[in-house]
Amino acid sequence: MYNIVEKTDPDGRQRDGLTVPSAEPSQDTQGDLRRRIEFLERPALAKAASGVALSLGIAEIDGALPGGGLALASVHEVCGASSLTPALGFSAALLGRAAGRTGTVLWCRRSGELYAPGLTAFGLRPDNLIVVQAKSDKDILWTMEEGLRSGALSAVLGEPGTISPIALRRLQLAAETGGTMGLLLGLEKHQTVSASAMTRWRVETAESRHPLGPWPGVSSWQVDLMRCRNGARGSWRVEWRDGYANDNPQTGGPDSDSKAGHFALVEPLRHGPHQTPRSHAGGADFELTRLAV
Amino acid sequence: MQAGQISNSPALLSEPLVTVRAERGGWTLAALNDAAAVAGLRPGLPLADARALCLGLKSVEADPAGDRRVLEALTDSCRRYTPWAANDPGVDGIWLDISGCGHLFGGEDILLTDLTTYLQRLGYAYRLGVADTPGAAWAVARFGGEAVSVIPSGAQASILAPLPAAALRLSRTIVEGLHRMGLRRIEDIIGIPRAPLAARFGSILLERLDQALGTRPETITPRRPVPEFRARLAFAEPISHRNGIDAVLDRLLKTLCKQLADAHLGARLVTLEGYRTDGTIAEVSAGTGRPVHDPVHLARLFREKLETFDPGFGIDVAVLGAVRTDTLPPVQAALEKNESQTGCDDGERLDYLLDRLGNRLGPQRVIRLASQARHVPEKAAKAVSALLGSPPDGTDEGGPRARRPLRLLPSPEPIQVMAPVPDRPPVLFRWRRRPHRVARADGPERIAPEWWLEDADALFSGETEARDYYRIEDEAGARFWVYREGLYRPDRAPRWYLHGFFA
Repeated sequence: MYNIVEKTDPDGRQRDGLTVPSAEPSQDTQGDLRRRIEFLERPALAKAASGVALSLGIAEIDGALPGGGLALASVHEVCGASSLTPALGFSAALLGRAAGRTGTVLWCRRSGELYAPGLTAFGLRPDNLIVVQAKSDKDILWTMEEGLRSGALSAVLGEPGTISPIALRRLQLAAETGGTMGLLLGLEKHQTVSASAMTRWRVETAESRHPLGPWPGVSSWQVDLMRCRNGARGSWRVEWRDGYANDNPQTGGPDSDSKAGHFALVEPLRHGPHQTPRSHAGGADFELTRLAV
Repeated sequence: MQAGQISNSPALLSEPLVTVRAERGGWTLAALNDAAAVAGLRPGLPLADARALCLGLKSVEADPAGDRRVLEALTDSCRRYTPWAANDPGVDGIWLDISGCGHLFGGEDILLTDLTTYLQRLGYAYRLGVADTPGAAWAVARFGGEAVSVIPSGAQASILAPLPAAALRLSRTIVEGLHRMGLRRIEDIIGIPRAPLAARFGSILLERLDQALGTRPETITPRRPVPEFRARLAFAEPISHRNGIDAVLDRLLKTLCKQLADAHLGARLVTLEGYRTDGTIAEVSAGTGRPVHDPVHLARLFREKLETFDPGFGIDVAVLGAVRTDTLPPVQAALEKNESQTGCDDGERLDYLLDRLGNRLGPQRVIRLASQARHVPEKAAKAVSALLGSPPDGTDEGGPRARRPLRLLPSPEPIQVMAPVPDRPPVLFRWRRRPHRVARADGPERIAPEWWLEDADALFSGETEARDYYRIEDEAGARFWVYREGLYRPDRAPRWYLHGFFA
């Protein structure tokens, strides 16, 4: 058993025998063991997860996610609590970050309400965003699977009304094959909680702030990390500082000249693993059940 | 007359049957079957006279449009022999240019045998004429007296000579004029000086004569465009199974792609036609965003579309044609294999993906959302197909400088608004029966109608008015884009609309 691990160590480092775990296992040992188990179970996924992740650009959130960001080569769920629009904005921002300067992203949805001049604020331009207006949920899932598997895209966002655990699992496997990040967007009440997705986010709109007066400011959301494989839950208030900096002089930074914006933390409400023991215990439980399987 | 339907029922064939059309205030015969011809009936006879000549005569109203449709379908299905198939400008003929097609069947005579069996099986009465020129073939098919008449190459003049003048595709008045002059046969016309003939009957007579004899060229325009590159496969037994069709497609694609690669071309639109045994055609096409001659990629595009390809009772001929092509110069193969073992780069993979999405979902559903320099919000965005090769320029030079919503409603929805002060944002609005109390608002941003583009009448009559847009946020934090149409006027209540949502 141990020999297998040693031969196919994901990091390629030579290990010097099986270390007897101490009574108080350090965080590092735990993480290491988790990685090994992950690797034994699903090599492709573990390789991808340990390798690259999409950073949100906020140290607090990135730190709460294993791998320092949203793992590429996996599927993440984003759901809107009461309205879809905030979740739409948050995922558009994620897509914009995933597209970066050279990548291309795909957005599959049924209605055509997306507005091009509004998308540019999230870094989504006609040269890096392809929209598929599908007729049915079946077409959306098919398109997502094709897009994820092709490996030609940076990220694929889909809005199927409902999704079965089997379909989600298919998407996850396609994402692993193509090394592409998948995002599932929907209303919370329509989505089924499934173990296949890497993370699950809940996005609710939040009051915006304008530094100069009683005007609406940049998009701001209450973002809850509801579930995260190998991680803990968390809750943050996040702003998307877009390129229209003229109404907010405080955001005048290196990004202000380009249309693409960046995330910013407004006020950390409560942190994930280190300060809320309950959620930490939840993560450990989850690990134990996976070990038992 | 629906030739296909009537001729296929033997009971009707044995009895005299005519089709009639309304003409000169009565019914006259348009066409008749063999039994009616034996009874002494001729086309053009009044129906009443025909009934007197032949008791128990059955008559059906003629349907020229239906005849035309049947003939066109038959023309299409004859493209199994040659892509160059056209309707005769008359109503009862089909041109097939079979030059160079004989060898596919093992000889021209075998092709003709195949064609006659095919037509017999479909239940058509036919007369075939084969000649060097369309005019000569037309003449022997109608006046040759045999079901299949073949004029050996170069022998038009001798074989056409004894045929009547009407065999030259001439109008009735010209034929009657020739008769009055005693010119009844083609040999009579060949023998006399040409200038007086042209002076008397116009140039058409000599043109038809020369075209029949082959001294003047004649072109036939095919009914459907002929693909420059095509691959064809005929089967001894009709195939209808999906596995068989897949295998056929693979072979055809290999042949076609070889042809294309040799010509340094790539296909943009490929059509697979399956000629069913019952004379109909199953057809499926696959389009690509940029020229390709990769059989694997094309096969993958077709695989998803073959679900709609219905072989019916089986297809016995399959033709794959590159309908649209583009230049695709060969690329030098890399000497060393780098990490992309699949042999295609990211852009190529993206193009392949878009091809597949476009073929399955429809090209109009795979789009890029572009901005355009227009002031009216709903006109500032447009969708362009993502399959058009190069993406539009991402930098919008004329785009709005103010923030725009992420979602825009397809048409603005009216809202009830409480706005106590004119030209100030609302404090409360009701959308879809739910009240929203406004916490923060920004505006107005006045967007005037584009008077240099709009219809002047609509502008002056007040149909299109300036809009004052406000960005507002309700107490729950939801952000909306609303506008008031027109300026404040004392004589009417202002109209407010919700147009979009900010994230």
